[in-house]
Amino acid sequence: MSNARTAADALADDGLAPGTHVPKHPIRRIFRSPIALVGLLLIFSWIAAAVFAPLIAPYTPNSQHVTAIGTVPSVHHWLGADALKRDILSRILWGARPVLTLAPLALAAAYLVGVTLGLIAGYAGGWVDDAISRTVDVLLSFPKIVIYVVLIATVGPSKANIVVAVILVAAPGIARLTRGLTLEVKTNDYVAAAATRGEHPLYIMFAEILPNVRGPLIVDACMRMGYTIIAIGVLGFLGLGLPPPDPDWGGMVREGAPMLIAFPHMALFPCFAIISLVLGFNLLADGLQESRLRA
Amino acid sequence: MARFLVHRLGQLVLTLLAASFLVFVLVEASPGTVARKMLGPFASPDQVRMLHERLKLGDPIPLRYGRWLGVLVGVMDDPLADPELKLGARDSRGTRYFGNFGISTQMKRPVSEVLWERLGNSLVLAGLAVAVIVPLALAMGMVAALNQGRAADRAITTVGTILASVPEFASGVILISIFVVTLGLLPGTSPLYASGRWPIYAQLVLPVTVLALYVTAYVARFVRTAFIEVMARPYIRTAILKGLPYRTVVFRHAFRNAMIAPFTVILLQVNWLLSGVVVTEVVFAYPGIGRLLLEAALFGDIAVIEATTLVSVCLAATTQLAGDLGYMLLNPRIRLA
Repeated sequence: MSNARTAADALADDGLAPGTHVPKHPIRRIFRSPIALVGLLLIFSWIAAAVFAPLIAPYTPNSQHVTAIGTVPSVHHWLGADALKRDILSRILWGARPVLTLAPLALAAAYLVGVTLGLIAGYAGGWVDDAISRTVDVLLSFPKIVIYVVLIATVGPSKANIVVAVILVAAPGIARLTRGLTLEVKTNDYVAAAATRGEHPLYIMFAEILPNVRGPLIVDACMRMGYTIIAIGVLGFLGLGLPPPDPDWGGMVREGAPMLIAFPHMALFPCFAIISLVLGFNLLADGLQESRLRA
Repeated sequence: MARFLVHRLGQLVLTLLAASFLVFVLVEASPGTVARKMLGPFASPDQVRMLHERLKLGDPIPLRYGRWLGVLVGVMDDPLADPELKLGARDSRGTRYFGNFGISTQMKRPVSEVLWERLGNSLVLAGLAVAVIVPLALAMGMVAALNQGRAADRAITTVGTILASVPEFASGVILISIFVVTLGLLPGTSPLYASGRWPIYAQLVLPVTVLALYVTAYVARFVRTAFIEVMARPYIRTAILKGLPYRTVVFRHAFRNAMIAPFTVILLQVNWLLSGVVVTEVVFAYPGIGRLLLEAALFGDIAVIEATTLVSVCLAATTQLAGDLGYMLLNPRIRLA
């Protein structure tokens, strides 16, 4: 683990001369990676779009513009209008809201469950570990889409149900990763020291082990953000997303797909929106991974 | 080895039982009684009550799951196939046979009649995709690794990250816009019967491409990492220093050792591939098991949901087992536990 290595080792690996300034703080390290910066820029643009949608969107997302001549992009409707003559640009900007609230919320819940289970399994070992690991194995044996489709189709599409589905899909993988990292870290002396001091196991797990495994978990979280955004898009595309008429990127692609031959822009623009947001998180993950390996 | 295999096969069966039980609980204990779902919204309350009694739906879930299992392995009659129910479905194979998944209430046909044909179609799609993904990912990963840090590596890595950010439905829409709408080179739907001007092989091009695009980038990344790791090992340096041609070092020494990690990754991709298959089949109206699952889930066709999920979990679990076995064969250092 990186704790065991000295700063000099890190510098030698990096090919940097001793004395070169390497920012220690992970947040500051991001600014050394151009890829991560591009990723952050994409993410923050969409967050800004979501927050300021009422101010910057030219129209309200559900208003129909009967006067719009044709539906292709024009001066009045920069990205055109959809089959119901609603402004696509406004719908995309407003559509950033459900994705950017639902995905982080669901993923945070999944991490809460997954990290807790992984720490317990890794630290406790024995039958507790067996019970958790076998459950995780069963859940991981499901193709992810099966969980999403069967669960949402059965219990109905709502924000709460999507959060539950994301927990079921993501938490097992997070638990397995955390368990592996915990097994690696728990042999360290500082863990033994804490146990000798008589610290509570919960304290050891969350205050001693967790901070030392956070690096890989943060990179994993960025990648999972991408998957989760894709999954929410897929649900919308399959007709299992949040109910209409409020804009939802996946749902917009679904509505636009049958019109593809005549009006490709209806489905294409929401596709680009999803791609750019997912790309933002994947670039951030790449950049973090790179700088974590470097420093 | 034999003990290990028996142990792992036992684990596989347990996983399948657990997974099918979870799905059973989810679809059969969900809001809205099972009988109502089977008969649809236009059935009278009397009919619903009759079916409810006939199928003993009031029994506890574990008991009903046991009965479902009995029908599946062929030791019990499928209660739905009872001609007195007049559901209009006859199973040509009789009422008791191994692999009896019951009767689809949506299609009024035995599930097993539909399931295997659809599964076959999906396997063709997935198989072709794997045939594209593996050589492409190996080549991309190797070229990137051998040029680590140089322009070729940067280009491949960047393209990989971009491709891994494009969900299948989006790449489907984009490829259709380019190759179908603008260029008119390929068909936009793949019903798998020769319709008009498009032969079947032309219908397969876009779905296979969509599936391959997303997964290739992902696998290539693993190949690259594994190759970089192996190329830094002392025995590679020795091989180069003793004057072996670079090509021999790469293909004879590095390749086999570098393949171990990506091999499991590729087999684990089958799980991903299945997810991609659902979306791709919907985009291209491809008659596979993914669309079967989606339609069944949307309609509430319980027997089909249970059958398709069990089959897909079975596929995923067996490829994982195959991955573990292959991993051991490739790497003799791993001893059987």
